Amino acid sequence: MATTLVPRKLRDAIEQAILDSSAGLDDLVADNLEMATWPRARRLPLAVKYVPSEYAADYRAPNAGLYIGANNYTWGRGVYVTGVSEPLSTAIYGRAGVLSRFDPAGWRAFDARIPANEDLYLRWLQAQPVYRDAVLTVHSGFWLNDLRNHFREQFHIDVVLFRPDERDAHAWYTQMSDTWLTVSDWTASGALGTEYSTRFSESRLTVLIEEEFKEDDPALTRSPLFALSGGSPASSTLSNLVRHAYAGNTMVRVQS
Amino acid sequence: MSLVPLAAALIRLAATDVGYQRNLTIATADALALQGLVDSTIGEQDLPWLSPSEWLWFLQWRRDRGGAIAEVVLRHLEEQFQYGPRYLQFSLRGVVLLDPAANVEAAYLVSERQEVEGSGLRWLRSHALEAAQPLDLARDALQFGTPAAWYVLRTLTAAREGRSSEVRAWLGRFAGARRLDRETTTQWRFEEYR
Repeated sequence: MATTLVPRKLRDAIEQAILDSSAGLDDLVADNLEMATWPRARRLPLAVKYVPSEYAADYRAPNAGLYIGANNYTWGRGVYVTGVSEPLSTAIYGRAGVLSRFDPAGWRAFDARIPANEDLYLRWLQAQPVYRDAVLTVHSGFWLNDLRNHFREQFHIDVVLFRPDERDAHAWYTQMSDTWLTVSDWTASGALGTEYSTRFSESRLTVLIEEEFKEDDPALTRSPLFALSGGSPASSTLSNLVRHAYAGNTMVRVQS
Repeated sequence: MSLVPLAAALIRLAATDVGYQRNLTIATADALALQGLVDSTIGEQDLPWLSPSEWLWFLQWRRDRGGAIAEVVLRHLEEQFQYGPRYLQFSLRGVVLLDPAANVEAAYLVSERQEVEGSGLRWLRSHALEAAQPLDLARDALQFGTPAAWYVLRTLTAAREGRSSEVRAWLGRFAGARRLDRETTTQWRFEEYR
């Protein structure tokens, strides 16, 4: 619905970046496919989202799906997930790991892991009519999150791929080389959707994290409260265990 | 009857926390509860129940669920934010500039002689005519870039509006710097002034 008012050259460069970003999304999809299960002919990628324990029970029965996050996240309003190949990456946000299938066929991606694409976004940002107010007032945080929504709406970006910008204090769960996704839902008029996402299906509680995290002050990291083993619970087999658990409708418990 | 007084405590929490937003969604799964918050008329007596920024969040929440524009709240917030902060002015305008009904109507209002019918555009028109800082309003309209935003620019650039030449000159510089095509900039004027 919204028109982008930037020079044509920049608009074309962003469109090209979106086309080129499909390679990164394809790779991510290939790395995160579910187990082959009969009678399902087509394997879809699996996403992981951690939710607070109070919502865990919702995902042990038929449910409304994943809830769309608010504006004040990195790339604005959307569902924030990782692929199942990095199953612990966002465990700092809740103990209940919900797995879902998603079908990214035809999605327009913006790969913000690529510095040249970040540069394009910054050029777009600087061309915005409200840029001065957005960066020169105390409410910059609010403005910049809104403008990321505008960017995604103007170019109808279905998914942004980006590197983590928060992690646990010891980097036992989140690696800065991981890929986080912001997935868009759309209203009929082309605005970003709210409430429950229609992008994900068959959401089920599949990973239960023993650890609990608290935000450090200022909230640049999150610290584990138990840290019982004194190390990372990650292992090379965990991703496959989680895929098997999802396919078998069971649960993986990850010790602190 | 508006359920705002009953739901005020949850609205206040939801305005700043996505977990409570989810709880509000669950609470309004009931059709009557949803109707009481989204479709009901909001009156002056409801205004004290929420702070200006909470009202702003609630108006966006209502709009995203297909609710009608609550003109009494728009006027209340317009008065509150008249001299800033800029972000709240921008957000308040966005409530209407992104409203689907206002945008459908705005697409057809190409002549100054046409009457505005919807409450959203009626508010936008008076807001444009009374704007203390018309260039700020023009910037906000360009940022949202919707048919309703073009209607605001048409109102600001109408010849009978006293400050129109200043706004027209600024829009000319804005479009020139970005080499915007005529098809886009034509929408910023009523057809009488093209």
